[in-house]
Amino acid sequence: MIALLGLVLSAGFGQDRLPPVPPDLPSWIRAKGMDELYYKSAPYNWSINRIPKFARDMYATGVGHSMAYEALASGREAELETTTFERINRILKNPPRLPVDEMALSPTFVRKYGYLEKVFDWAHTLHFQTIDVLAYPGWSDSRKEQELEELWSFYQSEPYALTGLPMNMEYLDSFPYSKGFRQKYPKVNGLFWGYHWLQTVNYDMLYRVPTADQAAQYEVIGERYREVELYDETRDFMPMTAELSPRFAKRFPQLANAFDNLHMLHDNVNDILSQPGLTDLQREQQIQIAIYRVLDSTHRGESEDTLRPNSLHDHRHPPSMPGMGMMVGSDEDEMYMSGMGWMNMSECGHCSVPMPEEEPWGATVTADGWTMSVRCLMCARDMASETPGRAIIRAATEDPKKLLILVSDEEGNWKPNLPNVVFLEKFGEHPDCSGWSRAFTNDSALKQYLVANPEYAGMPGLNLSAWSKLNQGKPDTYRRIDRPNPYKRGGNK
Amino acid sequence: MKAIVALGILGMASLALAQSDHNNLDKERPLTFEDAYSIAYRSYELQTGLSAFAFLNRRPQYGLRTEIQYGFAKNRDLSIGWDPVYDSGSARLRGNNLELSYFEGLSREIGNAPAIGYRVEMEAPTTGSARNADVRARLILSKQARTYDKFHLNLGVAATGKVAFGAILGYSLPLGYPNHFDTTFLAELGIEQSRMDSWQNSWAGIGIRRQIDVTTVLDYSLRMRFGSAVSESRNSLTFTVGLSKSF
Repeated sequence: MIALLGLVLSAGFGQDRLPPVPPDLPSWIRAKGMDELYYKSAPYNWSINRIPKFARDMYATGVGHSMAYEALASGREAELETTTFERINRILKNPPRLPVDEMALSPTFVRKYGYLEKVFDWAHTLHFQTIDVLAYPGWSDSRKEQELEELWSFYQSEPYALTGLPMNMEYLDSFPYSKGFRQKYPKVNGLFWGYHWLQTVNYDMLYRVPTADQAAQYEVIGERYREVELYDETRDFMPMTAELSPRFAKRFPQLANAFDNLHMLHDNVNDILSQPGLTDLQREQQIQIAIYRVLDSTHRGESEDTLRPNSLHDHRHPPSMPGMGMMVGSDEDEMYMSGMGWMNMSECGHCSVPMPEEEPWGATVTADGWTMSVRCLMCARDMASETPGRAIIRAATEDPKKLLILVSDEEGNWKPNLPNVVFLEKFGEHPDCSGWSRAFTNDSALKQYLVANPEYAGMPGLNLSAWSKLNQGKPDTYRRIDRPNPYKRGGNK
Repeated sequence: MKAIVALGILGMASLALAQSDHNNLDKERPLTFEDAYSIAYRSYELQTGLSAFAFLNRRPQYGLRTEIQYGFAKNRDLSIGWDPVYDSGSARLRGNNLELSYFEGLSREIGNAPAIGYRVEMEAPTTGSARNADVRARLILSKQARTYDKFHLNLGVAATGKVAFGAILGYSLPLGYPNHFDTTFLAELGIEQSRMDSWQNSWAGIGIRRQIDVTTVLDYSLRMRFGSAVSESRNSLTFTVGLSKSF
């Protein structure tokens, strides 16, 4: 009866292309209980507070979400870009010291869409507990990785869990109401995408990084978040986890996909709530359908091999990146990244040579709001030097347990986490760069490497100062992918 | 008295080791009313509070209430509580009863309908000085008032040989929004039927719940009893300070 009424009303709305309510909508969506869930009990809980500025910025994202939803649910969308934006912005500039109960801040929204809040709340718990595991100083990296697998199982045990399968983002953003919010409310949409930038960029900041070296990176990331990302109205699409934390997304694709599916659900909900002309019933139905699309239960039994392109059950991913669904215009490993243009995720972002399959895994560079994977230290340094502003390099050393973290200031002066770090750089052919451009935790480790690799015998170790003065320029192997922006008129889409 | 203060300090210190939420209102923390929501599924919450009861015509009493709750299922919790009282006039510690309690949240607020929950409590005597065993039930309705504030109506019935009824109107208002998110103001007006069938027990109270870290809430309140079936309890004041910690 409700479905029939919805059909009649949608015809009145004039958008008979609105998706119909699926017959197998989970029964919990209509359950009346609050169903509040406690997080997994563990010693690492609230380790996020070890990085106080990060914790406070993360807590403020909850306030931002809630205040915008409360304005939308209570018919105050006209003030979204003015009063509500200013109110949220004040909180973002003075973030709370403790986590905030989002439901208390958005009572009207919760009275209308309490089932949606259950999905959001449970996924946000996963966000926070993942961070807590990675920021916890009491466990080894391998124990943390084991716990993240267990945390994923714990998350999936509830019916509100989102799927960890990659979803086709072009499909999920293709409904009659899609893209409306970002066009009509660019400032608040910028805030949402800013929060989601922070919620995805942080995982490579933490993953396999010694806890003592995590906070220093947030000086760069937090500054970028607060000064640029929150107010960026030019981004073409929401930030993707694999785009900003590629190393984490490759190792934990199910988590990366769940976070992207959550963020796409936020975009869908924003579009539905801000779509003029929808009745209350239509809004409710479309939100339920949007939830249904990304629930784990909807895709149970499916796998990445489920090949139904551009559909609800399209779980393809770029071959080199299991932690990301297909994007607008994506072709195999090529995707369009806001701020960077077209990139091939299987290749070094600087020299376009395929990324190594074995150790050392290479490095990542975070600068100017993006994070790129590169093959070697030389590519990392030279790519960072091409970019104005501060940068972070995370690189493999000879010891898999010791990651080199370099954080630069505005002038490009690097500060290392390893005081005795020494570099090898003997410029040669790029396909071999992971052999001749490397970092070592100390001089003795470099000497052992030179003994084991006589082709580099006699090469001097470079200290940080000498190494950072080098610049080999743009590699001749670099291949620019010359395709138009698919999100702009005249692009692929 | 020293013993009960020492017990209180010990209780609060142990709490510091173990997510209470200042928005989630629990009975006696620090006022009598509660909201229509259970604690979170899978969570434990340890609550303790020291109360000082001041009377017009007798020496004060001191109470230490301790309760542990467990969210054993979605929207349901079980709790066990104990609130011994020390009477400084007679220098005697009264054990009072052990309270066993079951709470179920039936519905959250949906549309204009209030959230609904209920609680059933049983008391088991612990010592010869304990009160008679009680069975009590409470129906709880919570409803958004304007934006962030809420009303909470608690309707109770107690059976101790005889049936007695009571009602509490509670009010909660988060303070500091939209700039601060850690404090809730509470107020209540209560009336209950005494065993003599007259509406003699009535009180009013105000209180604060303040989040002091991610899992800990500090609360304090002042309650004034206007009428009481027990003449010496009339016009008495109760000051309570407590702590809740979830784990």
